Amino acid sequence: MTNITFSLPAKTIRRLRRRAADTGRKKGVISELVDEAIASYLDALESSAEGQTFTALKGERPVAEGKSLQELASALRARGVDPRSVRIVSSEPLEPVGHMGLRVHAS
Amino acid sequence: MSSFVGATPAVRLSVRNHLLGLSYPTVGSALGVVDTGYDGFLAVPAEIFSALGLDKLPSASRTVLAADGRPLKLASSFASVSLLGVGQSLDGPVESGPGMGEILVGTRLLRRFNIKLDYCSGVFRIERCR
Repeated sequence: MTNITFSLPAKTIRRLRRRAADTGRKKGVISELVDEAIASYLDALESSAEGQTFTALKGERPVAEGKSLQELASALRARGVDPRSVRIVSSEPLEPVGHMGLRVHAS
Repeated sequence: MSSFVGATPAVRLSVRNHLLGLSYPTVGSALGVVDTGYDGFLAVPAEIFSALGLDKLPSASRTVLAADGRPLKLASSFASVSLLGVGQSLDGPVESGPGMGEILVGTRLLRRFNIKLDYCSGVFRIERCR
């Protein structure tokens, strides 16, 4: 672990402290939350690089797109679109018929 | 964090629905069974699907064939899965259907990882692909 110093807006620090208090623990909680938040953001950037995209559709009309679900959620919020009113599709859809449980077929 | 539960490999994970700002579990992590027979991303019991608010979002559905050939209809929506100790959050389809009692981590999620199963020494290790 390394100590670094940085500045955050007072509003963010208040939210962070509230969230830390909710865990009921004291030692190291804020560091854990900051680490989790930064790691999650970096993960979102890295998963973007993997090429999957998510599109929110109203009917068949795209209303927002994101390279991660976090990015898509932000885009929907920015446009004031209720996520319950859209259908999300991925550029990497699941197979229409899948398997749950190993099936080995003799050839 | 990965470990064996009995002889079954399992990972500690948490799931986040960014669209509604809901997580499961709300504190800590849950256990997901590594299931190489499941070709999806993540399957969860109905109560977890509901706790994540995924049942409130318009969802898709698909049919999966159980090991005995029975077709099962699963509802599918999207969420982010974080595997503890692996340091990576992945976005993908989360499925649920009747009778599901545990979290299953399928091959669509596992394909991003290097997995080592060593029953001789009781070691199960999961690492991000290099």
